Amino acid sequence: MKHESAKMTTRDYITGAIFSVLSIVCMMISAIANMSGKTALFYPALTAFFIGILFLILLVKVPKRGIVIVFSIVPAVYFLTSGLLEGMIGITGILIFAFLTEWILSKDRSSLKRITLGGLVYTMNYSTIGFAENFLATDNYCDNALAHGINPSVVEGMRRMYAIKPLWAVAIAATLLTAFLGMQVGKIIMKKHLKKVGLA
Amino acid sequence: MVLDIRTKLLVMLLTATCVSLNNNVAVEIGMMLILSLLLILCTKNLHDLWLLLLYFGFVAIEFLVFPVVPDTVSMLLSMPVVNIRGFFPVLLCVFLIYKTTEVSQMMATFTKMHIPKKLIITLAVAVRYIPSLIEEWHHIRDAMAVRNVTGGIRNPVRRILLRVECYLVPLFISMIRTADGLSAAAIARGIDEPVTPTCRRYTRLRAIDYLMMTAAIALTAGCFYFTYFRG
Repeated sequence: MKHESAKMTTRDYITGAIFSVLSIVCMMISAIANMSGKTALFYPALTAFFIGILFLILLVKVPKRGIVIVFSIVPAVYFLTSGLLEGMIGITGILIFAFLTEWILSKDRSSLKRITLGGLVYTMNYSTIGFAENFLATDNYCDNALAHGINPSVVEGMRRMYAIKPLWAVAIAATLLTAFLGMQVGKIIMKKHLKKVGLA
Repeated sequence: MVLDIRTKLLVMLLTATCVSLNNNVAVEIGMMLILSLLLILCTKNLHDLWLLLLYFGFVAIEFLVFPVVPDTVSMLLSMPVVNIRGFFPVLLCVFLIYKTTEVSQMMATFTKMHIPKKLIITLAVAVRYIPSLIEEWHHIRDAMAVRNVTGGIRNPVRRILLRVECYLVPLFISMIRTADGLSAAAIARGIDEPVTPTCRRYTRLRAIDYLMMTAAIALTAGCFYFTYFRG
């Protein structure tokens, strides 16, 4: 039986980095949801679906301490492109949830249930910290959108939508649900394909 | 003109900050012109101006087309057009970094900056993997087109699921194999040696770098001043 080191090796960092790049691609594809004021509410849910698939496969492939942090590095750098303040908030958010996920996974990385729980916590970042400004400082967010040139009717629609605070809970619940679904898809892909070719 | 990676990163960070602070299209156009000039000076290739032309296309849609089309169309297209237009200056910076920075140079500079080796490996692999990812995506798309994978299926949900599966599975298999290949290459080059590597490609910051950094900081400070103190 092949014994693998419990510490991260160069190969693990490279695998984590590659998955990290793909997570950015997923975030960009999910940004389609941001193309309208109403559907923007489901951007975290759409992202969580894809990230869920990646998260599960990565954690099964590299069940080692620190892999979630490596997985978060490229998205954290990507957040820097949204400005100094917004970038710092984004980076802080993703790192807090990554460390929280590492803590959840610290006891057992072989259990799929625990990996699923970790994945749910990890993807929560997108709907909690990611939506904090929208729901907690709605006027500021909408005034900024208006000043940037977005159609006033669209901004008014957003203002009304983000004023309904329970929608935040709906966005969080949708994110959890789609992250769970994503991880189930990840399990199916792993069982149906990756195990057969000896890659999982 | 050759700029250091640190200068380019600072310019990108400050551009992103200006974009998030600024509400004036004239300032944004100014930023795009300055960054395009910088890009042309660094790459010496006029073809790289396509991003600037595309940007002006978005500006034209927003200011020439939206006022004359029905409000419903303007409402539908407003968010995508404004959001994508606003991202262009940062995209130009990313393009500048990507086109003019070699990975070995980036790694040498980050090593000299005492950035943890693990972070450097992750970033270097991320930058190197992007072209492979695009190439792989094209291969999968071509293979799917040749085999007409979803040809006989009428149910749209099944078609979408099958497409997702056909894209993701080869991509994952390729990713895992690429990771193996890249790690073998990296180990052969001694990337995981515990000693600090020599940095042959490291260059010190030059006068042009200090000049660019000062200009970028001054422009950001100006943007901050006009946004918060002049309204």
